[in-house]
Amino acid sequence: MRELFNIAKSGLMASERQTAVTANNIANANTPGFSRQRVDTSPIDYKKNNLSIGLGVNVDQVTRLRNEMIDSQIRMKESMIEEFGARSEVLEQIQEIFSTQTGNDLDQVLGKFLNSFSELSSNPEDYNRRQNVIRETQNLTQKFQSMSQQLGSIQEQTAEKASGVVSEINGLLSELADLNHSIRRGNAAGKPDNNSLDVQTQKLEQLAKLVDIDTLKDENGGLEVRIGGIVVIQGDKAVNLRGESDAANQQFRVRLENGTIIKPEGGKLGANIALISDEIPGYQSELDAIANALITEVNSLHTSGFDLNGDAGLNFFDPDATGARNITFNMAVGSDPNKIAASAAPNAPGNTQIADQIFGLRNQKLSDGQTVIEKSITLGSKAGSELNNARIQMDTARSAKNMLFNQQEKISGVNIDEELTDLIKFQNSYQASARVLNSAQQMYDTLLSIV
Amino acid sequence: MMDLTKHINNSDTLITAIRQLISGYKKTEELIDRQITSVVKSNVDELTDFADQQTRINQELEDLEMTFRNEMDTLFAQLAPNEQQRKLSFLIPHLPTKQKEVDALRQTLISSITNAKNKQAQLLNLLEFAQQHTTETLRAIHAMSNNTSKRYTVNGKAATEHRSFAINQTA
Repeated sequence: MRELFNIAKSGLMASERQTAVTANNIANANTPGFSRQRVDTSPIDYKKNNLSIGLGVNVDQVTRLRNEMIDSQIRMKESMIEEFGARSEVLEQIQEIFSTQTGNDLDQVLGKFLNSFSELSSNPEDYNRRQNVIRETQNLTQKFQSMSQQLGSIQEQTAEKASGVVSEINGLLSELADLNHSIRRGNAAGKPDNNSLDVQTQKLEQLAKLVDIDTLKDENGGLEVRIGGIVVIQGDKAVNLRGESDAANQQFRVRLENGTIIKPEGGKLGANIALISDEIPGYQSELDAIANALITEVNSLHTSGFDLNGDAGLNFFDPDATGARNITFNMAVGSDPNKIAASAAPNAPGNTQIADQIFGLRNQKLSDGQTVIEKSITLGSKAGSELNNARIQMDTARSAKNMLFNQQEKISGVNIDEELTDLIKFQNSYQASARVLNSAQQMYDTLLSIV
Repeated sequence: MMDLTKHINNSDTLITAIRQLISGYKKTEELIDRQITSVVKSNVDELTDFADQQTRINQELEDLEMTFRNEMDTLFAQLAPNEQQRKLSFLIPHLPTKQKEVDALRQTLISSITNAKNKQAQLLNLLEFAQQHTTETLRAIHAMSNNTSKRYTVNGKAATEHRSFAINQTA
């Protein structure tokens, strides 16, 4: 009778626990990062005369249903979404510098500048045409300087954003270290702290958005987190990161308290660092190359000519300029239209050889096989194409993350044979779709080339 | 007068060909969107069905492109026989009354092709990821069910428990 009572009591307790877990599952159905839990039960029995006598059930533990491989892939995708999102945001700003949609793009301003020499050729002594050259030159130098300044301020804003991201990372690292403490304590006591594990999953997702991370579980269930291969959380201790903006060298560094530099490559921070250190300086240096090529070529032609007073031509641009940032019109020429050297011979005001040659720069290929105008068009379209690419990558990562989320939702109660069959079916289907798409890939480019 | 009427008729045929191409590429774009959704939902039957539809639509687009090329060739022969490059943009200035209309359609066609091309790149990237993910899942299941494989902790000690991997566990 007593045994019967105990069987009923253990059954009731197990059922009560199952109901509580189910209620918890339902209550948290919409909580981000929450994993369903289940009650693992085992029969209690004892053997008597080789017979097993049932005594009811024991609640062994409450298991958290979660696939950590999918979790880690979701984190990777989150990291990519944020990385490409941050890149897109900045590339969009860069594209706006290069494509104004107001007819004031660099190639157009350059074109107007070179055309002003062609107009001068048709009447080299005309004061208005000389004034026009001055006006277009001023527009051009202002354009170069303003583009360079805008790139510089985008770089500064990106560095500020990166500093903000480092602070957010520090906050999350500290929270994750605290969670490690309670998870390890729960595991040591044989009662896994499933709720803290869920918060940990959620915080890790937030961290992955900011920076690419690697995680390892220690034997007590604590999580070791690394950024760029360097440990930032171990046990219940988290390091504090410091962001350093080095404007002179166009770098942004992240250091630990002991001075070690860590090099994040993904997430918002990775994207910001790559933009500050490589991508924005890349645009800046290509813009400088265009400005420098123009300074060298125009100065070389202009100093070989003669102005309206019969004097040898001066440098047209300041020869000490180092690029787009400080390209300057030589004020000696800028303040006196007669100082524009259009002629190849002294005291030959009707000679327009130099003006023609400067106009000829329009079609003159530089050492890399492109004209200055072609170079500026290429630079402008580079920003557009990189932005397009970043958006495609971001959309792909977002779809892949949604796919993983759906798979995470489906976990539990699946027969292994069915699962393997399904996976093979998936694989075949993915391959077939990719084959169909690949076969048509050329079609787009062929048609674009004839419209 | 006869010639002008003929040109206008041919321009109309060209316009129809461009409109059909635009509509074909819009359909492709919609189909690619549906394929992305079915990969995200892991709906294999839907994806197979869409792959069949994609094969058909690819064939249709090839035929439409051929018609478009033929229409352009006819108009080039009549209006600009010396033009070396057979591009729609070079033909437009020679179209007497339909310049604006054809130019606007050209812009729409370019944007439809570009959108479809971008979507296709996105789907291909996603399919590549899905294949890689499935391979990794198969590998993980194999490792879990393989009694000869051992797991080690970060400290190099043999782990007593499998890494948490809940697929196929009975709830």
